[in-house]
Amino acid sequence: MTGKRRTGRIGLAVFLVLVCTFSLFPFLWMVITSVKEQREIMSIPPTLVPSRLTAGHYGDVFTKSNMPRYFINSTIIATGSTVIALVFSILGGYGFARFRFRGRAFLQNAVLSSQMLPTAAIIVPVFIILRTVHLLNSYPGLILAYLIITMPLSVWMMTGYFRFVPAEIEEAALIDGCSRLGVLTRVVLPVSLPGLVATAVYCFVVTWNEFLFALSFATDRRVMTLPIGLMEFSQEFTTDWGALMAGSVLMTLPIVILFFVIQRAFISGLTSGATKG
Amino acid sequence: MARTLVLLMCALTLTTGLWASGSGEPPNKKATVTWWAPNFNDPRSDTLAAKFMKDNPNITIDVQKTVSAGLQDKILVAIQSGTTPDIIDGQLGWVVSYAATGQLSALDEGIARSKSIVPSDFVPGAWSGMKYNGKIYGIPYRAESHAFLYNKNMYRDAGLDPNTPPKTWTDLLQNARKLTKATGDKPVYGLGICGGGEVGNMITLLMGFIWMNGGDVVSSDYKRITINEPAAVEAVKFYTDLLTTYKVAPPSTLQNDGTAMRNLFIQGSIAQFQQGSYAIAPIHKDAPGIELGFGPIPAPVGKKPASVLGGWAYIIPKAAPSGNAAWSFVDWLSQTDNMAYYTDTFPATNAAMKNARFSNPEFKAFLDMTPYARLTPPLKGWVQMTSVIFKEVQAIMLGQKDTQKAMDDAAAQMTPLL
Amino acid sequence: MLFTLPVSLFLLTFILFPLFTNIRLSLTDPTGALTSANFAAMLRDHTVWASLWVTVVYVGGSVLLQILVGTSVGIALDQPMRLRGLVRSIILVPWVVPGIVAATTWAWMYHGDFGIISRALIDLGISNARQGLLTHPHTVLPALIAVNVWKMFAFVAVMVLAGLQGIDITLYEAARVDGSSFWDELRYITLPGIRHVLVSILLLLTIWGFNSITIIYAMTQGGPAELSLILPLHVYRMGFSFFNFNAAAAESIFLFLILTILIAVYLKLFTSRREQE
Repeated sequence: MTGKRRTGRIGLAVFLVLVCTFSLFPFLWMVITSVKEQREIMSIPPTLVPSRLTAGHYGDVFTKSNMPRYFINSTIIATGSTVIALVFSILGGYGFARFRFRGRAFLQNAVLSSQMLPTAAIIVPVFIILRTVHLLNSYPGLILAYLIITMPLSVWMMTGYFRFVPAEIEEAALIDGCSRLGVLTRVVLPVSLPGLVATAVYCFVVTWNEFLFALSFATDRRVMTLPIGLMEFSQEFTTDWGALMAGSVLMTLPIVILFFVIQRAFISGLTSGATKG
Repeated sequence: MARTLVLLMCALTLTTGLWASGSGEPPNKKATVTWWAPNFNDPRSDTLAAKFMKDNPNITIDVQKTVSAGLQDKILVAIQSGTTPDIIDGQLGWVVSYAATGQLSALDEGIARSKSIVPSDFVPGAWSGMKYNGKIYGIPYRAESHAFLYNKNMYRDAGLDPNTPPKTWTDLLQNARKLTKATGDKPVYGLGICGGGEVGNMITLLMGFIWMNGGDVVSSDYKRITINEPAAVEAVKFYTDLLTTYKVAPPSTLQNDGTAMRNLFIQGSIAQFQQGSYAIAPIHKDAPGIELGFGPIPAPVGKKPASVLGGWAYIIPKAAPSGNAAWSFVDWLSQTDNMAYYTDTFPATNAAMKNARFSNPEFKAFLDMTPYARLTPPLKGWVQMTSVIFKEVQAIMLGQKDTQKAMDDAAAQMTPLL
Repeated sequence: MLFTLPVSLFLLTFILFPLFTNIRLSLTDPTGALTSANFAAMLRDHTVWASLWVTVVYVGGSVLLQILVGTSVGIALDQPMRLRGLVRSIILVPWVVPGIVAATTWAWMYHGDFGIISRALIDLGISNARQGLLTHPHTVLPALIAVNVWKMFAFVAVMVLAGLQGIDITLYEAARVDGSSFWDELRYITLPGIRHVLVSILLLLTIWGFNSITIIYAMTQGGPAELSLILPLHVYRMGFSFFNFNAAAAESIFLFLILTILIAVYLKLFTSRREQE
C-alpha cells in the first residue's frame, strides 16, 4: 500500500465514522429496544436512552419461545446447504472455468437466469417437487430448496476464482499423472481457499436469514428456522417487540462474530479471485 | 448416453407421481389427526388435545402451531397440494374461498349426526358464512365484533361526561374535536382511524361505516359494485374527512393499522378508537392509569350500528388422511364448554357465551355488538377488491383525489373482479 | 463436462421446472384451457405499468446509490489505517441482519409518532416528519431506497476493495511523479482499474434489486396508494393474496423477459467479445 496516496486523515476518519454510524444505528436501536421495559418501548416521543433496563426479554426468548430449537435447526440447515452448495459449485465452477464444451454458454446463462424469476413464481412449483419426493418438512428438503438461492451466485463466484488460477500449476500435476479431480482437490483448492471462504460465508448468511422459503416448506416445529421463530413473537393482536428485538439480536450476533473472526480471510477471498484485471 | 438417461429419469420422476395422495383410513385402527392451530391459542390447544386423547386412546392429536404471517396462502397451498393436515383453524372469511377450490370436505352429514352442534345457536353471521353452494364447510368456534373504546380521563379533562360515549356520528365528531389538541410537544388527537399497515384493519373499520350508512360495496345479488353509490360515498367521505378536513385523526394515520392505533391510545396520543376485545388486556397492562370506557359503535343519526364479524372456524380438507377421526375431534371441540375454553375472544354460540369466562362487565359492549356484525361478501375476488379500496382510500387521504372520483375508480377496478 | 453435471441436474429440476410451470400457468386459465387472456389483461392493467415504473425508479435509484456509496467506502477502506478489520465488520452488519427484521425496525424508526428518525427530524425543525416519511408521496421512495442502500452498500464496498488490490501500484507511483492529485488518480487510475468489478456488480445488483420485495413488503406493503408498489411485489400479491396464479405467472414471465433484455443489453455494452462465451 505504500505506493498509494494517503488522503487527508481527518476527512477519511470523519467519513468512516459517519458510515459506521449509518450501518450500526438500526442495529443499535434493536439492541436498545431489547433492553427497554415493555412500557417504554412504544413511548411517544421515543427515547434513545432507556430510563430503566431489563433483561426480561432475553429471558423470554430462552424460556418462553422455541428459539433454542430453531437455532439448532437453522444451524443444521444453513451448514448443510452451504456444504452442498460448495461441493456443487466447486465442481461446476471448475467445469465452467477449465473446459470448453457445447452448451457451456447456455448452462452458464441458465444459472444466472434462475435469479431472474420472482420468488413468488418459484414457491409453488418447488413445493410440488418437494412433496413429490416426500421431502417437505425435512432438513434435506429445506437444504435442497435453499440451494436454488445459493447455487447461482456460488457457481458464478467459483467460476471466477478458478479462472484466475494459473493453468501452469495444474499442468505440472497433470503431467505427473494426476487425474482432473485430483488436480482440483490437491492443487487448485488449496490455492483458492479464500475464495472458498467467501462463497461459504455468502451461502451461510443467505440461508440463515431466509424467511419466505422456510415459511412455505416447513410447517413442522421440528424443522422451522430462526426467521420464522422471530415471526412467532407477533401474536394475533399484539407483537412482543421486546422479545422480537432480543431474538433478532441473538440471531444476528453469531454471524457478526463469525464475520469479525474471519473477515480477513473473507475479504482476501474476494480480493484474490474474481476481480483481477 | 448415461447422462441423457439420468436426465430423462429425473424428468420422469417429476411428471409421474404428481397425484394427490389421500385415502380413507381403515376403521378402528389407531389414527393420527394433524391439527393446525394458531399460535395465539397456545397452550389451550395442547390442553384440549390431551383431554381428548385421554378419552379416545385410539386417536392421537398432533398439534402444529401456525403463525399468522402468510397463513391464508399457506393453507391454500396446503389444501391444493394434496398433502394436508386433518383439521385447520382458519378465519371465518377464508372458508368460502377455500370451499370454492373444491378441496374441502362438506360437513353436513356430521352436523346432522352431532349432538353438540346446534346450527341455530350459532351467531347468525358466522354460521351463514360457512355455506357454499348449499353445503356447510366449516364449524365456527369464535366470533367477535368491534366496540367503541375511549379514555375516560381525557373525557373529564375536556369537559365531557365520562359515562356517555357517543352514539351518533355527530356526537362522535363533536367529542373528537373537543378532545383534539394538535399543538405542543405531545399532540393529542380525538379519534384513531386506520389508514395503513394491514389492509384488513382499514377495511374492517370502513365496512362498518359504509354498512351503517345504508350502503354496501356490492349489490345483494353480488352482480354490481355499489361502492360509488351515494350512501357508500358519503360514509367513505366521513371516514376520510376525519383525517383530512376535521383533522381529529393523527397525521401518522397513513402508517397506522389496528395495533398502531392501540399503541397510540396506550401512549395517550389518541382519545377514542374502535377495536375488538383483545385490546383490553394490553391497555390495562401497559397503561394502567387509563380509565377505559366502552360503548356501542356510533352510527349515523337514526341508523343502527354495524361492524364486521371476525372469527375462526375449523375446516377439514378433502385430502385429509384421517378425516373421520378429525371430525370426531371437531365435534368434541364444539361442545359448549370446550368452545368456551378454546376461544381467544368470544365463542360462536349463545350457549358458550353464557360461560363465566365472558361475564366480565367490560365485555358487555362487545357482546352487545355481535348481533349487528356481518361477514364481508363471500366473493372470489374479495381480497383483491379490498386491496383496491385500500389504495383508493389512501389516495383520498393523500389528497390526490376527491371521494367520488376515488370510489368511481375503485368501482371500475373492482367490477372485472366480480 | 462431467464436473458440471451436478449443477446441471439441479438446474433442470429446480429451476427449469418452475420456469416451465410459470409459462404453462401464464398461457392457461384456471381450468387448464389455453388462453392469451392473462397477457392481454396484464397489458391493459394500469397497475402493472405503474408498478413497473416504480420498479425502475426504485431499482435504478438503489443501484446507483449502492454503487456510489459502496465505491466510496471501498476506496476509503483501502487506505492504511488502524481498526480496519473492525470497520469492515461493522459495515457488513446491515447485510447480516435478517431482512425482515431490519425492514420492520426501519419502518418503526420512520413512524411519525413512534419513530426515532421522525423525532430527530422534528427536533431539527422539519415538522412534516410528523406524518412519517413513509406516508408522504415525495419521501416514501427515497426513504425506501435509503434502506436498500443501507443493506447492500457494504457488499459493493467489499467487492471494490477486492478489485483495488488488483491495480498495479506502480501506476500510482508514476502518476505521483507527474504531479497528479488525488482526484486525478481517482479518475485515471482507480476507477478504470475497478471498472470490471463495477460492471459485474451492476449486473448483480440489478437482478437482485428486481427480486427483492422484503424491504417494501415489510415497510409499506406497496403503499401509500401503491406509490411504492414494485412489480415483483405485485406478482407476489397476485399469487398469494389474490390467489390468481395465472395472472401472477403472466407477470412473472413479463418480468423475466424484461430482465433478460436488460441483461442482454448489458452484456453487449459492457463485455468484450473475449469475455463473452
